[in-house]
Amino acid sequence: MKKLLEIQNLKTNFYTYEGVVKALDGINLDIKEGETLGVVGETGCGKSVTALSILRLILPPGKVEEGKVLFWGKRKLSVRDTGIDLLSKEEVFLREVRGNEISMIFQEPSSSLNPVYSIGDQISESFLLHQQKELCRAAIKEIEKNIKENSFFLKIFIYRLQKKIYKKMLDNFNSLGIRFLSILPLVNRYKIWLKKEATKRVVDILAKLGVPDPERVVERYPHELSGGMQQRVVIAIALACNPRLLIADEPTSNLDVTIQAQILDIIRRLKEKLGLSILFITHDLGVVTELCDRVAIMYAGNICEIAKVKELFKKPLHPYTKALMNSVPTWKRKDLESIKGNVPNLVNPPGGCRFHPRCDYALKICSREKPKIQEVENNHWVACHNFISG
Amino acid sequence: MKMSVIQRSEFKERLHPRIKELGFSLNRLKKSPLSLIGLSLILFFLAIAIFAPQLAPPKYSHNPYRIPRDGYSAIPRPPSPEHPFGTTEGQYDIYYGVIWGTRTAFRVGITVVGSILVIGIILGSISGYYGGAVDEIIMRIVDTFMSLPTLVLAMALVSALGHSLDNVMKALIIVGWPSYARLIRGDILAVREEDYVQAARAVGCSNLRIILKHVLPNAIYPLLIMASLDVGAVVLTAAALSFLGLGAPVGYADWGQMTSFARNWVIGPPSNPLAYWYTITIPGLFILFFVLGWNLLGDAFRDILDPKLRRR
Amino acid sequence: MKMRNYIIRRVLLVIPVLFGVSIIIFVILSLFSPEQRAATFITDVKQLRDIQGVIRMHHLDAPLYVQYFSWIKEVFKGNLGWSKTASRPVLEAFFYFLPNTVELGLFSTPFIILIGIYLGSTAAVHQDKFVDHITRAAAIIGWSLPTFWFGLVLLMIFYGYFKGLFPPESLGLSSNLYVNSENFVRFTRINTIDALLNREWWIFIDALRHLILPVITLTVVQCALVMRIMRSSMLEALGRGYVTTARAKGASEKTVIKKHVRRNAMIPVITVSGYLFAGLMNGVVITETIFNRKGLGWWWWRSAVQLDIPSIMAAVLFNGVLFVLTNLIVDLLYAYIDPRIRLG
Repeated sequence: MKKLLEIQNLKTNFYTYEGVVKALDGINLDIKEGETLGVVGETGCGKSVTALSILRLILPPGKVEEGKVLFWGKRKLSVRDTGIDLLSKEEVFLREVRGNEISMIFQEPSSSLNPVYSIGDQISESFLLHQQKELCRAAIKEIEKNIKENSFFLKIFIYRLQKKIYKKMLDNFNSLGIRFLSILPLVNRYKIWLKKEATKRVVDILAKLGVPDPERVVERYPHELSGGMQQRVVIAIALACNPRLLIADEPTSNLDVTIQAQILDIIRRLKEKLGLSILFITHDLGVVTELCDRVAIMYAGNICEIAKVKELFKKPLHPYTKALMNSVPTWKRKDLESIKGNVPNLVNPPGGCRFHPRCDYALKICSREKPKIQEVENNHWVACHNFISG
Repeated sequence: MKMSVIQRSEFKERLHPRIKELGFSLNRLKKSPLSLIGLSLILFFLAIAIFAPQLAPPKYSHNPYRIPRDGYSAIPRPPSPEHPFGTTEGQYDIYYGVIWGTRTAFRVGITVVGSILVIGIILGSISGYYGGAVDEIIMRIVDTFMSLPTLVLAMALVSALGHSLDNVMKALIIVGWPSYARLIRGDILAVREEDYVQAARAVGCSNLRIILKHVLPNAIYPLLIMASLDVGAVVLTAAALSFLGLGAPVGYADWGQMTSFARNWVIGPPSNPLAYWYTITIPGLFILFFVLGWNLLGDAFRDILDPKLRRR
Repeated sequence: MKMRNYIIRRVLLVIPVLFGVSIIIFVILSLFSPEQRAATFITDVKQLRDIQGVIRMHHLDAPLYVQYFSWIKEVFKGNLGWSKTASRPVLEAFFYFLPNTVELGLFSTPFIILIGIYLGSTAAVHQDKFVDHITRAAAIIGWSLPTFWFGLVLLMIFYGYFKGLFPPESLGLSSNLYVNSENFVRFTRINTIDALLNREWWIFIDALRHLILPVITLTVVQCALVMRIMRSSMLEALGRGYVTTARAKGASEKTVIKKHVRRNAMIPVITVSGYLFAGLMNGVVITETIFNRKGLGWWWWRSAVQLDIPSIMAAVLFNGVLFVLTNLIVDLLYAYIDPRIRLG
């Protein structure tokens, strides 16, 4: 399988009053085309920071210090073997990628949606940002159809003018002239065609996501929808422009179990139908087994272990992974097991391997040197001195 | 023994959280230049007020607030060695007036704000705690008061009670308590529903304990912020009322009163239109910087104490 | 459908507040002596000769609740008493002084709101940078300015030092004469508007010249408040989830701010606008007094100084009504903009 995204040695810091929080300490991950990679870890281990760093959405006081995020999925660019490093590109380039080739959905659907705009407005924004040319062409076609069907002279005249505007927009969607026209009160009725086209596509994608009565939903506002419906809208926004990669940051953590099941079902179907690659961030091991092909375990800003799902559950290698597996309650176990110690303060993380104070298998070297992640078995990577050869 | 960076941060970690938070607050206060300016202004005026008898020895020992007059001519005289800031119409010494006016300002500001804090907290607490009819009545009164502009209402009250500085203070107290009552009532109502209060009740805390331990500490910060901002506003309104002739009597050491003298002397003779600048500028600057000090401090408090804005 | 219910409910809420205002007025009224209060019921100068008769006729020595009802009756009849400062019945005086104040408010309010919103928005977007500190410092200084002092200083400089550039009062001497002559038709009694309607440009310019300083005085102090509210509500909106979503959609930062953040941030500002009017009234009293513009504020000041009780009561009544109406409009506007309120 071809690689779609590769993160190399990503380091992100947050400069706060208490000190420099070293949130990401050299992350290495890769996602292949069509696969679903799960990222599992406790709260505060840096999962969301990783996701935001990929799209360069980290704001001050945070800063991506070093590392590369190589992406192979950019449309309209010839396939290159080395991929494009997203972190080194200009902001304009990145804006083309966001929402278009890499999309992201977040944890709380109700806060992800703007309360003062309708659902239709918010989903069409994705189309209007990235599919301007297609929308204009479709609008022109629609106008031409109306010109043929209509016989009233004045209307035809207006349509012809509006068609001219759209042809101009094909060249430059946001030119000064167009922006001026969009402010003038009567003239800016030309936007109706654009809105109609966008709404058509919005209804289309909502129907694909199993939203009942999409024509009515388009007019609704976020607070009128249930949690599950809101999350579907968020997914619609993310998938509007057919991205190659979807980053899902704990999308089901705040939902009821039944709704959770529905959303996971939708995501699974989309995965199969569209060949979507997914980076699925969660703290729920159960969800991982349902959805993911491979899974990465994260602890305190480091990746501990990456493996295929079945392999990981059958044979966890890293001490942290083992402890996690042990702490999941089952029928057989009588007591609840927890991992001794506390999550470290990332301003002053433990030296060497960040897990060593809580590790049952700690060696002397673990407090001095940070273990590099290595492929120990077939497609099974671990970052632990117990497994590093040499 | 110099502690290394690691040792110092470990020490900081082991301190009681409340002390840590206090340290954080003080540090933010120290780092914010605006709050430092505000604090220094207030301390400056406090010093003037305390040392008023030394800075401007009173002429009438039984009533130091009566500004001494050097003659009865109507034309103000510019600054000179005997009158460092000049004299106003009627030859009242401006320097004396602004020095003792500082005391008046503090008196008015602190008394009024202190009173409305107490009245507001009591009435607001009763309203929030007991609810029901009492709550409705008090809140209707609050609504009605808050629907009228402070100056206009104060003007009406002062006219009814008589034109004097004490009545100005009374009027401002009557006009000012509603906002505090509403604030504390809102806090009590909000905190009442919070999970940690339910939890406290679930383990058997009495109502009084809940109010003292949970409600008040959370409610105190917005009150503090509002109070420090209000000192400035109260002094401004009182000065305005004195300026309009409804407050302190003529010749009393009050900044607003002194500015009212200047109304007729805004424009000097055609050859030198700014001739009498000192009658206006000096008392006005005192008001401006005094109010500015309190506003800066209140703003700084808000930035520092509001839990949402603290850590950015 | 829900909007209609909301409107009805909101309008009905007006009644208790107006009732409360009337109670306050009446309480203040009863602080005066019966003789002083007899003036409230007089519409004609001749009646002043028989004060005792007036007192008896209007039960001014009767128990309070009786007095309250007879007073309310008079108010509803439109008889608010005689204003000695204006030498005419209170209601008439009110409409006489109103245009000047409306003119002042008309020219100040747009500036206050627009400048306040713009400055607050800019300060929030560039938080903690130089722009933010400068605008905040300007806002705090503006908020701390004694209105009366600021107006006087402006007069000193722009009227005194610059030899009559921006004069006080509402109109110059010659304009005043012209405006009161037969050649000039009075439509609204607002100088600027009437000048435009009469197509007399020089009067329009003259009226503007006289307006500049009062408008500046009013604006500077009030727009500091708007700016502060806008800044803090922008900062809060900027921290919300939908802003990150918008950025993740690939929207430019400018679009994110303009389209997503600002709309949400305006909501508290609109709410505050109701209180803005109260502050405006305070400023109006002082500004008109300093610049000698014969408007409502000036009238109320003279009434307070000369103890013209009916006018003082009218001041409180008018402000109460004004506040209630503005808040009603604000609440309705609020419901229109925020779908959460509108749709329940």
